[in-house]
Amino acid sequence: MWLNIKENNMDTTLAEKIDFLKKAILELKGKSPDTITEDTKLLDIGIDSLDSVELQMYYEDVTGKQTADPTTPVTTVKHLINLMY
Amino acid sequence: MIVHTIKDLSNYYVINLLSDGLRNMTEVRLLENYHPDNKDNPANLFYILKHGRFTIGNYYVLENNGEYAGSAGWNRLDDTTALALVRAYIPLKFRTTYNMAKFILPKIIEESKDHQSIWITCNHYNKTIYDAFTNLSNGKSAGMFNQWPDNYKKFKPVGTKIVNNVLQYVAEYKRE
Repeated sequence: MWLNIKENNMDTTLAEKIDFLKKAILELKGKSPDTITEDTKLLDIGIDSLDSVELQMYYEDVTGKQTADPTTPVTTVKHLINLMY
Repeated sequence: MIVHTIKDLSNYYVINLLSDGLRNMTEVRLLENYHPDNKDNPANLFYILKHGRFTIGNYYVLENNGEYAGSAGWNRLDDTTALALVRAYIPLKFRTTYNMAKFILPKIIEESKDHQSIWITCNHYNKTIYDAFTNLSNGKSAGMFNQWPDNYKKFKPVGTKIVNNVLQYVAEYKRE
């Protein structure tokens, strides 16, 4: 595994989650934004609906965990990482 | 949102809208198939519009407040099958709004009704969408795909097919 994701979700810090996301974006899109915060809008960093599906599948491949099905629109980094961890 | 329907290059207003919009695209791997400067390439959108790909079919161009907001078409593959979301593109600004599913896909499903099946084809660049169809049909969590409009979920994965001489992953909508 290229990034150590802790088994216990409660132990994973926000910084680790954002770091995971940045590395995943780099892996999938070939470049990663310099700065991401919880409030960053996905579209502002070039993540569209297809990319979101791709990130979800990548996450599931890497961690062996399934993401939750979102019940509200996923438009920010916070929405995305809340589903992934 | 205005949905323009064209079959060829004869509607100057729509072709200019399309051309101006696609001239701004930045995705290098898509330039060959979409950028108007590559109109002499047989795979290019403007080439296939000129050479009759949509004679049986249509190409739809979305206009939002005078601005190009995306486009896609459908065309006949054979007597029973239509290809959907052909040469589909949405500018970054309009992504995650699902305009393709809201405004274009319903038209395609309706207007291709003489064909028993509709195929959405994916290549290795967008195979993710095929994988999402597969997860959904296997009863796995669809995750982010769950947010996509329901009319995408009518399509079921049917494996790979040779389409226009290229191996493609195919998701099929079969009419009852």
